[in-house]
Amino acid sequence: MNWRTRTCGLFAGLALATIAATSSLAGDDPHAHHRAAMKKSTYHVTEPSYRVPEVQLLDTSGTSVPLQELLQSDEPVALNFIFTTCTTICPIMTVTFAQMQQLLGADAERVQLVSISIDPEFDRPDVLQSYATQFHAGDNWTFLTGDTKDIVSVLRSFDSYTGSKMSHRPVTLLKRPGSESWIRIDGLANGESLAQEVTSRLLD
Amino acid sequence: MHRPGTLLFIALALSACGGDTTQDKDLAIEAGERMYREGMLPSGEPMMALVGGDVPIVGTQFSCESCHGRSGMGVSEGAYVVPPVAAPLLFEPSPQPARPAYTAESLGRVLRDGVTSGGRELMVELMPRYELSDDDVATLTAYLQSLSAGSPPGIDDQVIRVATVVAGDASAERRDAIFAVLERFAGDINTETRNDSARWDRGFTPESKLPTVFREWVIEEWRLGGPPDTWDAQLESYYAETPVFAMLSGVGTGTWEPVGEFCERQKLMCLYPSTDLPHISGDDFYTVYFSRGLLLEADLIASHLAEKPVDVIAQTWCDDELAPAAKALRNSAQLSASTILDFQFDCNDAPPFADIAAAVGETGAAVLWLGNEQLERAALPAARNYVSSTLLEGSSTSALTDAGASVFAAHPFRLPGSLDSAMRRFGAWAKSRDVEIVDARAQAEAFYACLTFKNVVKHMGRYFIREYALDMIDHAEGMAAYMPLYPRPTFGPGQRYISKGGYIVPVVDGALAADEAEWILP
Repeated sequence: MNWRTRTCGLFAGLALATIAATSSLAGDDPHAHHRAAMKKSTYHVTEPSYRVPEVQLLDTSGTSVPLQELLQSDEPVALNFIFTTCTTICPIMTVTFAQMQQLLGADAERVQLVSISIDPEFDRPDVLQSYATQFHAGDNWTFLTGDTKDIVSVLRSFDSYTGSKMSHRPVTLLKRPGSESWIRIDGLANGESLAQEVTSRLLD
Repeated sequence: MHRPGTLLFIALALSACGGDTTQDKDLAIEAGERMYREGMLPSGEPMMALVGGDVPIVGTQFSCESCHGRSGMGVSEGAYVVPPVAAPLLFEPSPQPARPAYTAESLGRVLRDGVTSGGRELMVELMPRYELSDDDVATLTAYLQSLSAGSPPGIDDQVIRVATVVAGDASAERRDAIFAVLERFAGDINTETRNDSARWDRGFTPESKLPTVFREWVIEEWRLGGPPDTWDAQLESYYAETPVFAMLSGVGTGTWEPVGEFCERQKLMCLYPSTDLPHISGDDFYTVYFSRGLLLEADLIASHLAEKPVDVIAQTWCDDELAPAAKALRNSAQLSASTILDFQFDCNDAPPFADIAAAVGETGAAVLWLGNEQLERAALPAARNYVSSTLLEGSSTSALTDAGASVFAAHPFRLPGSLDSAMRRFGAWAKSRDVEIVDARAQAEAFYACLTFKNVVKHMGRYFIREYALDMIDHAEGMAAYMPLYPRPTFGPGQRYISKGGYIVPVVDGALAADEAEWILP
């Protein structure tokens, strides 16, 4: 395992803004110290291998999707686990995916985003469809639900099963086309960090 | 962050909250509630914020309520904790993590910059930094000062009063069956209450006192008679005379709609009524149901028919009480390609099976909203027949044995033969308490309602807040293991029908063929 604690160094250039912001007075940039705060944000990146189970899930139109095939895509894949009535991290993970898609610009077309619901009994295709609309999910972003048993087996195979959706933790999984291993990001990375990870690890 | 408008803003906050007139204050609270719950500013524009330092969000995507809850009492999920923002906590000093009481000014700072009144910076990945004018902050402050403030009726340190509704034509036997459970459960609690209040270490100051975990349960019976459109007035009169903290369990044969609407209007927590026809609404918050009952069955049948379509579908029922189920099937979007014919008949007569057989011919299907007695009066009318497990009351009849016809039951319960450990637990409880089981379903439902209520009352601690109790149910995934009868219960904010799907089970030789059951989430 290749454990690294990744401090989002993207904002090092904003050091001056940080100093200005901590004085909590001036600042032409109203978000200066929000950005500065990102210096504290950490997430972990590892490169484990996973075996994707042979399951059929459902997309927002109710069409059956073989998960193995979807993830064996010729395009890079970014995957996360969410549920629509989640109270803390899911809305944030979802807006972050949306922001990453925007930041990738033209490259966004090359990355297949997949969000799998961990509350499949409630998150039926129509529920996921309105969730996708609410978060302005662009093309190339597949929301999936399915049978509880299958979802649990997917979660287990990605070492993301926590027993109850209330102990859900933020995980983002990236995969290069043809690669056997995954790039696993544990923690809440922001849009820019995620876009950067995708660009440097999947698109170069 | 100091801004030129700070003084003006404090003045505005004071005028909004300290109150020139009650009307102004109410308007500010309403506008603040739209901010908190819908993410909409008083201007009509959505609230805007950044999260994670760079991810823009708009209020229509998620709001304060999404994380802090309807009650504002906060939540923890995974490793993250969302602190409470309800008035009794926000405007008081907090010992852990230490911070002084919030003021309008410090609220502005935490909303815009994520810095608490104690100077701590909240996680930038979780708490959005909002763009708010001073007026907006004042408006939200007015709402937060009202959020979960005041005390609901029907509860104090000694007594918690609940009501159990017995509506319409519910039989005396059924009523007695659930009351045997409710009274015995309450009796046990009340015995514990005596011990609890006798303990010596109750603290010397209100803050150091342990919250009272057990208090005496007093159960009021609210009988509703006459037509359902008169129930609301009856409920209002009961509630005015003896206000209760919550409704617990309940039993009725027809629609539960007037009761559901009453609970919503009175903001009264109503837990797990034994009804087959719940009030269906996407926005309702205050009543929690086991499932959508017969309306779920209609959807299960519609899904099955949509998968194996026929040209003509005939449905039949006698009692007006079942009209909502028939209506749900008739209006199902999944069946828009089929012709659906209704055959309502007089309950004293035999079902009009000859007419149905003529209408559906050899290729159509019949949906029979009938009990065992009615089914026994004639041979099945169609090549494919659907029956309701709810109306068969757990027993199937030899009338469903017909070599020439196929029969499917809509079955929103656990399959026969599957292990129902929660039901066993209830059985053991009843046996040890000498409670006779005469209506296993209604009694097990009442028992589960009691378990849930006991659980949330305990966790409410010193905060008697109905919305908090309901928020806790949303997050109590662990209670799923204790729910009898209903398959695959799942919880979550806004989820008010706990078991979402059901089975379509072939009936073979008069019995449910569990091996061939198909799970459907309509």
